[in-house]
Amino acid sequence: MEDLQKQITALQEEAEINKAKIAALESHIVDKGNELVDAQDRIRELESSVSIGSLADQKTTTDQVILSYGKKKYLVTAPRFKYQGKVYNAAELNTNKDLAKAMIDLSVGFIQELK
Amino acid sequence: MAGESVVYTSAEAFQDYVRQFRKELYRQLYYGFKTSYLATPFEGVKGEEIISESVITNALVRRWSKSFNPVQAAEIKPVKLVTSLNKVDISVTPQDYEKSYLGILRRKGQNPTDWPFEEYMMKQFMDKVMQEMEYAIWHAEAAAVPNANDELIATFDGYLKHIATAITNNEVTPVATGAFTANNAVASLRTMWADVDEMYKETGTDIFMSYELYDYYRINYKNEFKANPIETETINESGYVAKGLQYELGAGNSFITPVPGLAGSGRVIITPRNNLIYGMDDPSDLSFNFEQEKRELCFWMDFRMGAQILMKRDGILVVNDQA
Repeated sequence: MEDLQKQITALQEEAEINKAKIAALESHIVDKGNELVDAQDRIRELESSVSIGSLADQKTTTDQVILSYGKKKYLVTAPRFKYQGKVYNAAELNTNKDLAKAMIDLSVGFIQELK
Repeated sequence: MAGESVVYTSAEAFQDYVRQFRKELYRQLYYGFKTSYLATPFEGVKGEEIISESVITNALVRRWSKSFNPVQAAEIKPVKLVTSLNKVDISVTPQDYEKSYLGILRRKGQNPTDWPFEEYMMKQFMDKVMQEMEYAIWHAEAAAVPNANDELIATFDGYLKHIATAITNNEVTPVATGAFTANNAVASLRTMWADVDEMYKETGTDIFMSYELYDYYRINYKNEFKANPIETETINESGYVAKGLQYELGAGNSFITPVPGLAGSGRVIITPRNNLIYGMDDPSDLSFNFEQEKRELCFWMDFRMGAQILMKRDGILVVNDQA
């Protein structure tokens, strides 16, 4: 009977130790979860800082042209376009100011002002 | 009204429902949104599939001679259709839907055996998923850095992204029209139409735009000609109906089709509808399930989706300059 009582006490002690271990692990999981949330927030911050970066900071590809018109600069994202039945290369916008004015007045989507 | 109570928390009933009506749910999901009526589906695309587009550039017919001189008949151009794996996880308390379900049930004059609660609940989810699919198939842009919280719109490239890439890659030349308005839509579309390949003016093509631009076109047309443009319906092979306008030019078999998925975009796209394709799971791979968690029902669904444009060339894919 005494042995049985000892066994019960030992099991109870073991159970207490296990409970403490579980509590410690749960706390560890919560900490790791918080770290993960922080890391995800940081990733989102970095992603948004990249996407809202000024167009002027972006590297243009070989086909993209920077158009200077008046005092402003524009990024031309289409290497060529069609206007009034004729195909133009983006580079022609810098030499044909009438064409550049027509495109800027039309607010075409492939010309973006650099700020 | 105790007699009208429904057993709301039985996951088994929902499981049975999705198993029994799996094919209908699949059809609703992939063939239930507007653009799916028009674009060409590719089933069973896991990850990616290379689709060969053949372009016949050389003249096939030559003057007769007795020697056999084959010409390079077709240039094979690979087009990659990529699908991404997506999921829907929903946890709901069905009792929250009791009043709206019973209300609609009374209004419809039906009894619960005709229109079970499970169908009502699934319809709520599926309608929302289809709405997201319709928008994503046009607007989606695959995130450079995939994130577990990415919505459908960030998991694959939609048609607008493929068009933007085709312009940057010099495959397609945008037509400078400026933004479509209620004062210039008819003239702007005529400017674009001039660039459509003669063959497609004969065989017919589609003109896709948002409802906003579609309304501008109608207003502009009415103001210009004091008449309504000709309304029409196009019916695809599966019997779906898409309403639109018969375009005034060409052989009379080209249609202006507004699609809700283009909402917020100023892009107008002239291309035959079978040029737009989308990829998805095989019916047997689509995963639906319900499980019960105390009073809540947990529903999840895994599915693949992707979009591509087969022929990205001037004359076949004519677009304006707006994004």
